[in-house]
Amino acid sequence: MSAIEADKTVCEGIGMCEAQADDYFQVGDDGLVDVLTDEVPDPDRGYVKAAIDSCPVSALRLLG
Amino acid sequence: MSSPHHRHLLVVGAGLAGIRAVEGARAAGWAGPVTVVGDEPHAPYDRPPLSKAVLSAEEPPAVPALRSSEVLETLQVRHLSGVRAVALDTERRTVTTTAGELGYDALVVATGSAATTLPELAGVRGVHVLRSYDDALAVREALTRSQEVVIVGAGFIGSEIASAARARGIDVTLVEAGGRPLERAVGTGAAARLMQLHTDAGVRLLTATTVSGIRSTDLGVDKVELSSGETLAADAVVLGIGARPATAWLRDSGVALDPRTGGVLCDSRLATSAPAVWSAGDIACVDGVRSEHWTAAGEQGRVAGANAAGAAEAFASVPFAWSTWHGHRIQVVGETTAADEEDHGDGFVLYRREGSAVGALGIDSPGPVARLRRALNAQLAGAGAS
Ligand SMILES: Cc1cc2nc3c(=O)[nH]c(=O)nc-3n(C[C@H](O)[C@H](O)[C@H](O)COP(=O)(O)OP(=O)(O)OC[C@H]3O[C@@H](n4cnc5c(N)ncnc54)[C@H](O)[C@@H]3O)c2cc1C
Ligand code: SF4
Repeated sequence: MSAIEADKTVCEGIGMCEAQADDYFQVGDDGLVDVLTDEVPDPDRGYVKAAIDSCPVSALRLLG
Repeated sequence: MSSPHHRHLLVVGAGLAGIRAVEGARAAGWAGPVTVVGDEPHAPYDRPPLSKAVLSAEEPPAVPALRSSEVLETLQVRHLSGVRAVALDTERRTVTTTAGELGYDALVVATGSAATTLPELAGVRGVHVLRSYDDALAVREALTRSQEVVIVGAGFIGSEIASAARARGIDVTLVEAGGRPLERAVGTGAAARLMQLHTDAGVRLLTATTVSGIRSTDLGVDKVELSSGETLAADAVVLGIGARPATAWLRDSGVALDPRTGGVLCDSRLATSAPAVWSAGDIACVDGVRSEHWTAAGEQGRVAGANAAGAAEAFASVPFAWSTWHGHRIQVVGETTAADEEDHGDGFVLYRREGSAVGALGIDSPGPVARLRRALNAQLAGAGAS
């Protein structure tokens, strides 16, 4: 199990994360990322990691 | 004939579109070897931070890698760095590079664009453009040594450099040939708001002005002469006057280029006029439109790679770009040209055509921009489905 950490002060609302893993990320009404489920079970780790890596301003991190 | 598992995918250009093409191809089931050729010496990296964090951070940051080495490893991609493609033979299916000839079964061309320069300023020390990581380090170096800089071009990149320079307390003159900054892209009202951000931050903005000459000493730039007759002292000059698709290597290849912009002509599936050749990113002119923004380059790259691997996806996306000027978050979504501007105050400008909202510019208004973007995306998905 890993956890997602989002830094809203860095997020630009570009939405790459949502485009790749919309069950984990959504750009909210404030235009910034909301993490919908912050615990990531191991089978999902790979594709969540890919979504995190695709953030152009590195606002997201996977812990553990 | 090679078996599907030995077919070779070649990607020329190791930028965002190139790396996303590899990911798109793998996701669509491409099992054969994949090679990415890039002329830069670095691991594939991301450009937006170059005119932002790289210029403003205390210490020069490391190259902003696009993907971790683990991700590149799982993609099983061979990256040839420092290798330049010089010619393409679409009949023999080979690309000639500075490191020899490479064959392909499928090819994605994603060589991006090269910053436009002013020929009369070529070779003058202290005159910079900003396209690559190495350029960014040089501009950063120049800023740390300058008291007065002249930035030519008040588009996104010129404006971001102006912000970074002001944040360092440098005297900045921004010289713009057109009327208000980005006026052609966003219209007069929105451009006036953008202009205000510069003047509030203490940038001297000269519009309808061009550089007519430069005086330099052995140490580099000394004075900049303007079309207005004014002469400015400058320690450095940075040009942000646009970019041209890097397509010189495709001349005589049989891949049709747009005579107007020099971009690679391709259809909505990103297929070019040549068999087994796709194109993506800043270089691509998709159904007549060339977008030079990050989100389009990434998505086009993914679609081109998937289609090279046998998928039949069409590229469709709501344009989206962002920028940061003097600490203000600027976002542009959808269509912002040939439309009526409607200023909603609070930094939100909505664009309408025949009454319907087609785009927006937001200054520190991520909320309304996000809502419109979602609505436009939903419309696009609906149009695609019907
Ligand atoms: C400083 C800067 C800041 C930006 N900021 C933003 C932003 O905030 N928001 C936004 O939406 N967009 C921004 N952009 C635009 C965005 O970065 C580009 O749209 C995107 O990088 C295009 O990706 P690409 O892969 O098509 O091209 P590139 O990223 O240019 O990659 C192409 C690569 O191919 C290489 N190449 C060229 N010719 C050859 C050859 N013959 N052989 C081998 N390799 C070759 C190039 O050296 C380059 O490494 C910015 C661009 C710059 C330069
Ligand atoms: S990709 Fe990054 S910047 Fe974009 S919404 Fe997600 S976290 Fe924010």
